[in-house]
Order: sequence, then C-alpha cells, then structure tokens
Amino acid sequence: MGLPVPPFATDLFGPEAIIMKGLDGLNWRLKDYEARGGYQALKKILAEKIPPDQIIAEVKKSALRGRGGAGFPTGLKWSFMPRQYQGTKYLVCNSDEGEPGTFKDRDLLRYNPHSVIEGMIIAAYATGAQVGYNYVHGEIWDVYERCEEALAETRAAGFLGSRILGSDFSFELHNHHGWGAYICGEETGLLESLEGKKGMPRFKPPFPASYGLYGRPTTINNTETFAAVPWIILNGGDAFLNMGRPNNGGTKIFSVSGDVARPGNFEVRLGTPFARLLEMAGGMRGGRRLKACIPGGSSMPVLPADVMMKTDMDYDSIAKAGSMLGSGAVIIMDETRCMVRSLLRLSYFYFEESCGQCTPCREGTGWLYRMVDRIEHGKGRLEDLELLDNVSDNIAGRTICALGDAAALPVKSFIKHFRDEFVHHIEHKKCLVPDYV
Amino acid sequence: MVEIELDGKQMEVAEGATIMDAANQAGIYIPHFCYHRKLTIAANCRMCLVEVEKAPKPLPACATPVMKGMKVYTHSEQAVTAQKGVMEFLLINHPLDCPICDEGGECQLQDLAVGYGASGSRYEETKRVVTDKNLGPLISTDMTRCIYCTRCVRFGQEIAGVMELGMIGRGEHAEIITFVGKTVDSELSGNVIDLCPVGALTSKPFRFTARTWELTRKPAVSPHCGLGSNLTVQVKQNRVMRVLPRENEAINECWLSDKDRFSYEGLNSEQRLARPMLKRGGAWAEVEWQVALDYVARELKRIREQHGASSIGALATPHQTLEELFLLGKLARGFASGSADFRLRQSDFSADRHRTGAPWLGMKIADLNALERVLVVGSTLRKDHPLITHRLRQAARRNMQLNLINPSPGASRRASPQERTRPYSSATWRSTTRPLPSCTSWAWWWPS
Repeated sequence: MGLPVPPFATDLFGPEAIIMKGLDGLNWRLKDYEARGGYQALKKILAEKIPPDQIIAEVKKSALRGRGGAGFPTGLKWSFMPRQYQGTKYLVCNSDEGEPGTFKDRDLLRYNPHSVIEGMIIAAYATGAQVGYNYVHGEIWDVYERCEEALAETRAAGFLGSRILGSDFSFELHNHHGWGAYICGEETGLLESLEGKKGMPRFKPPFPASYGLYGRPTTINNTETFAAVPWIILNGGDAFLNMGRPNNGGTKIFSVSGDVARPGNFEVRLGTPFARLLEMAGGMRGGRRLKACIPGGSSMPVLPADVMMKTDMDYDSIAKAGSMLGSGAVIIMDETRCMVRSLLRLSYFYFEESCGQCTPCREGTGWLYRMVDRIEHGKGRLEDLELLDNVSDNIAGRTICALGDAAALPVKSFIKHFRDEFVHHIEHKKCLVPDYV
Repeated sequence: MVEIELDGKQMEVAEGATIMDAANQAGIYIPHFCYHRKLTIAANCRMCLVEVEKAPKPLPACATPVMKGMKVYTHSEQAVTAQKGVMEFLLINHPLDCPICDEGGECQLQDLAVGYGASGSRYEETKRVVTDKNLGPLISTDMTRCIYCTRCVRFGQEIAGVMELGMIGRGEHAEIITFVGKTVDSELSGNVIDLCPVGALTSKPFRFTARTWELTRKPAVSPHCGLGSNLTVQVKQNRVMRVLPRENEAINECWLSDKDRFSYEGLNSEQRLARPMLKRGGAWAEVEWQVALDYVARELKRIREQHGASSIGALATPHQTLEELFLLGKLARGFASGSADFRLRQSDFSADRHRTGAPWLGMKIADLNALERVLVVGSTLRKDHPLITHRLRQAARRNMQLNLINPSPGASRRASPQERTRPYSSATWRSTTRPLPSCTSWAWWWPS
C-alpha cells in the first residue's frame, strides 16, 4: 500500500475528522492553517482575556482524555499544576510515538503541525507554563524538520515569544529530536532524556506536575491531545463531548494496520463501532476472516474477532471488552496469522526496549521472550504456558513504569484467547496456520 | 507526625518519612537491595514491595511516603508473593556460584535467597554473562553477579563526589562500567565493596584469602589521619586479613577512606621493621629488645653527660596513640630538654608563639555538615581528609559556600598540568568538591 502521496483527498482521514479535517498533505503551512480557522482560539483567548481556570474548566467539560495511552482526563491533569509557583513551569508534548502499530502523531505533525503548536500555546496559557518542548520521536527526522519549519512560521507570526499578540502572556516553544528509544515515550523517561540523561523512568510520586522537567512543575500531554484543544476552545467543551460519549469526549485518530485493505489513520467519533472502523480501512485484505485485533497498540491485551466485532471504539467500551484503547493503534490479524509468532515478535520488542532499571522488567522480559521463542521453534512444553502466565503476573504491576505491564499483558491475553494455537505448537512442533504471509 | 498502621500495629512516624523509615523505626525488617539509608532512593530492585491497603498493586517501601491512616502489611501474602517473584527474577541470571564467590557468607542476595528464594529454579534458558571490568588495584569485579542495584553508581555521585561508575546499555544488555579505559580512583572507592549487596565488587587484596566466618573482629581506631575513623580489624591466626569500617555517626558514619581500609597490607609486608636493629661496623644487625634498649639508654646517658640535656630532643610519629605520645613527652621532660614534637614534615614554627593550647578543629566533626561557609587553608582536602571532604560535600550540596586558599600544588590528581604548576597563593576559588552538575549526560538518571 505505502503512504498516501500528497496531495490526497481531503477526507482521507474520515468524514468525521475535526483535527485532520481538510488536509491534503500539502496544506500544512501557517497560512493554510489560518485559512481553516487556525489560531482563532488563541486570538480569542488573548483578546477576551479568558482566565486560565475557565479554559481548564472547558477542557474538563469536554471529557478530553489523554490520547497517548493512559487516557487520563486532560483538564484534571492541567489543574494539578501549582498556581502560585514562583519560577519556570514547563509544558511538554510527547511526540515520542514508539508503540508498535501507532503512527497517528507522525501524520498529525506532518500534515497539521500548527494544530499541535496552537494547542500547546493554549495549554501553556492555561497551566502558566513559560517554556515548552515538543519531543519528537527519533526515527522520523523529516517530521522533526517540518516541526522546526512550522515553529519558525509561528514565531514570525508573533504567536510565540514574549508578550504574545500584545498580551501579558509569554511562551517559548522548542522542538527536541529524540533518538528512538521506546522507553523515552514514558513521560518521566522522556523528561530524563530531555534533561540530557539516559532515558529511564522515574519513580512516581512525585508526579511531573510537582516535580517534572529540571525538577519544576511540568505538564506533559500527547500530541493528539494538544491538537484537540483549539477546537474545544472555539466550539465549546459540550460540543466536543457530544461528538463522543459521556466520559469519552470527541474524536480519536485510530491507526489501523495489519491485514486490512487500506491501512492508515482514521479520525472517528469515540464510540464508533469497530465494524465501521474496519470498513473505513477497506475491510479485511483479500476477503479473509478476522481472527484477532489488538485495539490499542501492542502493549494492550489482544481480543478475539467475535468480541471485537461487538465492541465500540471508546475508552470505556474497550475496557469492558477486556482490553484498553491505549494510543488507538488498531492491529488487525486475519486467519492466516500465527498467534505464537505474533507474540514472539511482541515479546522480542519489549525484551529489546526494556530500560534495564528495575528487576522484574529487566530479567522478566528476556525470560518471556526466550520461552515464547522455544514454543515457536517446537521446543516448548505444556508447563511453559502456566509458567508464562505466572512470570507475566510477577512482572505486571511490580515495575517502576508501565513497560512491565506492556510486556506482560500481551503474553497473558494471547495465551488466554488463543491457547489452542500454543498447545498445537507444543504438541505438534509446528504451526496451526502454516501459510502465514 | 503521621499515624499509620504497620503490620497491624499503630505507630506515629515523621511527616515525609517512607514506609521503609517507619519499618526501621518499628524494628520490622523489609528485604531490600538498592535501598541504602545514606544514598538517594532508586527503587529499582523492587525487593521491598509491600502491601498497602487500597493500593491496586504492591508498592516499594523505600520510595513510598507514609500517609495519614495508611495500612501497610510487610509480610502479607501479597507482599511476600511480590518479594518472592522479585527474588526469582534476581536469581535467574545470577550465576549462583556462591561456593567460589568471595562474598559468600556476607552476601545480602545469599541471605535473602534463604528467606525468599525457591529451592529449585524454573528458569531453563541460557544465562547472561557480563564481562569483568578493570577498576584498578583495589576493587575486583565479577560483573555477571551484578544485580544492577546501582548503589556503587549512586555512591560515586553522592558520597565520593566523582562519577566514576555508571550504567550503560539497556535491558539485559545493561552493564556497570567506568568511563572507557578509566579505573576507579576516588579516595573513598573501597566503600563500594561494602555497598555491593552481591559478589560483583570485592576487595582485590583480600579476595580468596579467608572466609568471613573464619575471622575474629577487633574494634580499633584508624591512625592514618586526624579523623580517627572507627575500624573493625578482622584477624585470622594472628594475622590481619582486612579492615572494615565500624559504624560511628559522629565520625566516619559507615564509610572508610581507602588509606584506612587498605593500609593493613603494610602490616604483613616483608619490608616491615618488626624487630630492633643496631648498626655495627656499618651493617645492620638484628638484636634482642633488651640489648637494644640497654644500648639506647646507655648512649642517651652518655650524650647527656657529655653535651648536656639540651642536646636531646624527641620526635615521634603522629600515627602513635595519644598515650604513647604522652609518655614520650614525659620522658623528654624528665630526662632531656623537654623538647618533643610530632610535626615531622613542618619547617616553619613561627606561629607557635602566638598560639596557646593544642590546635584542634574547634567543633564536632558531625557539625561540619551544618556549616554555612567554610574556608580551607593549605589543604588538598580530598587527599588529606577524604571523609571530612565528604561532609563538606554534603554541606556544599545544600548551598554551603566553600573556598580554598593555597591547596598544596601538585596534590590535585585531577588538576591539569598548567593548574598543577600555577601558584595558588593568592587565589580563592570555588571548591573542586562540589558535585558534578547533573547535566553530565552519562548513564545517570537520578535528579540531583
């Protein structure tokens, strides 16, 4: 399939899109963004001198939840920033998109960078941050360069710097190019990396709102979260909430990948049925049958086809189905996929990306990977399945950051839902689905 | 004060204390490796996981602050399951070579494995091997045994004041190493041997010479500097095998400088003068104590008769005990001119007339930590007094201002060639003992 080559149809990302609306791949510049109504929200805030508390209240009302994976309510997070703090407060955008299956922030920054920049400026206004950083993932250099260009445009237009648009509000924003480590997408690992240290997550508490970048109060949100903010300010929190479901406001960009005819990013309202999303992605490739789906990025539990087809795509529905919406990376696997081999690939990823700081993850991810590797290569034993499950239990919830859970949850869910394939591998020393493509 | 419930018992602990502090206060032991009360909290070994009521998962006792009404269970089923799980992970890649490991018998991992380890391993995959590192003549490494608690790394940063060890690599490929090609040269480096909870870092001079249970322990005081660090001298068959710190918060805390720790090697040196000798006909000859003493007494009497008492003075090493120096002074006053001194390397005594009494620090050693401003004259601190330097470093971290005047040139190992030859006489400069800025980007993750 390959990437869509600009200019592409303006409804590429779906008819319900609000963040990705009207994008054709070439209209990413400031003038294009302003023509789409960009920076109106910022101008409105500064002209009407809307108090920060009111902005936070509006974001709270919108039920905007963090788009990076944890789904934490954004307005609530902003309200944790200490109001009276004397000294520099920071705002950080987590564009270190490293989760396998997730590629939404990349497209967002590539085709609509100003929406993120405007969202960050508004967030800085609301939280009282003076300096912001956009931490761009290491393997997308072209996106980093585009962010730099966009930032230069924003500065030239006077939306950044001191006394923005003649108001009392000053904010400076910088891009930072990471080096590709998955662990730097963990918010405190990212802060360490931004400080110039090795990307290793910090123990929490204290949370970034009280001890963040350089030990100062810091708000850190995902790229897509920031991009939704200008729309909320212009159209109101209620309008955003009504686009989704209660507690699941707005639209969400889903990165659909795997065995579908038209993989790509699709922005739909939260609560859209999975079947509808699958349809937007062109349905199953080659007319094959859906076997399994990971609905929220590789670190979330896998769900079998029958459960998935009955599920709606929002935070609460997917949680009820037994997985998590995560970053919105929908990985589709058809009937020809070997689940043992798929798990092997995932386990290797977490083994390779563990930072090595705390014991269960450092030692356990290697153990999981080696056991799955044995099963895949016909050297497994039936007892290994119980052991895999038990070792996963010993990792999950015992580590400094969520990478331990991310390594354990796929293992547990793959074995839970596709035990027969693992047993077949062990007993027959070969795959149940021999023709994987 | 905060009221909490620990293992079913009500107790009050100071605000801001951790669960580990509370447990220490209550005399309850929570297993741990990376936690050390003198170092910052890393919470990376996960051995101290405990159950906290209403918490969805077990929490590390070392890093979790107590909160009002918190109910903590350190040995509940959930806590022990978590602790045993961590122990299993620690052991899967550990070589389990206790019989040939120098740490055997005094190994924290070995001890806790008795309580939390299984009798057999469920791990049947290949084990990790890590190459050993050359840390210099004092510290021996078996890095495959390392459990990555990073105590040694934090010690360098926080106590020794030099970043000599760090962790590179990620996940299973992580390794504790020095800067490329460098050894560990800090004056306090030997303490990482005590800190290492496994046999990864052991004492090079001591290793393979004795087991810990073969040694008898004698309390002693170090003679090597004015500090008087408290020691435990460990002896086997009337031979000093090693020297370890004896904890004394007022003096050396739990640390020991390398000269205090390793100079016992001189005791067993072949070159050590252990018996009296007399020079006769241009050659030294060993004699009995009585012969030597008679000779000295006779000759001193002769000199006094021929040249007068004023021609005899006494010089003694400052390494002697106070009692022995007192006796020498008494002898000099009774028998000779009364002139006795221990300042063997001093040539300018002009200040003597302006001073009364014995020069001393004028305050308790422990009070150094609380100073706001310090002026050091004529000393290269870290060479002369490594542990006083450590106290000043702690104070400097809390914004104490430290100035040095005329530190002995050439003594600073880290000074550049130009600096070594440059006279410091009139220069006042900010201390070299301030911790490295945290922006040095090498395998260091704890915010300072």
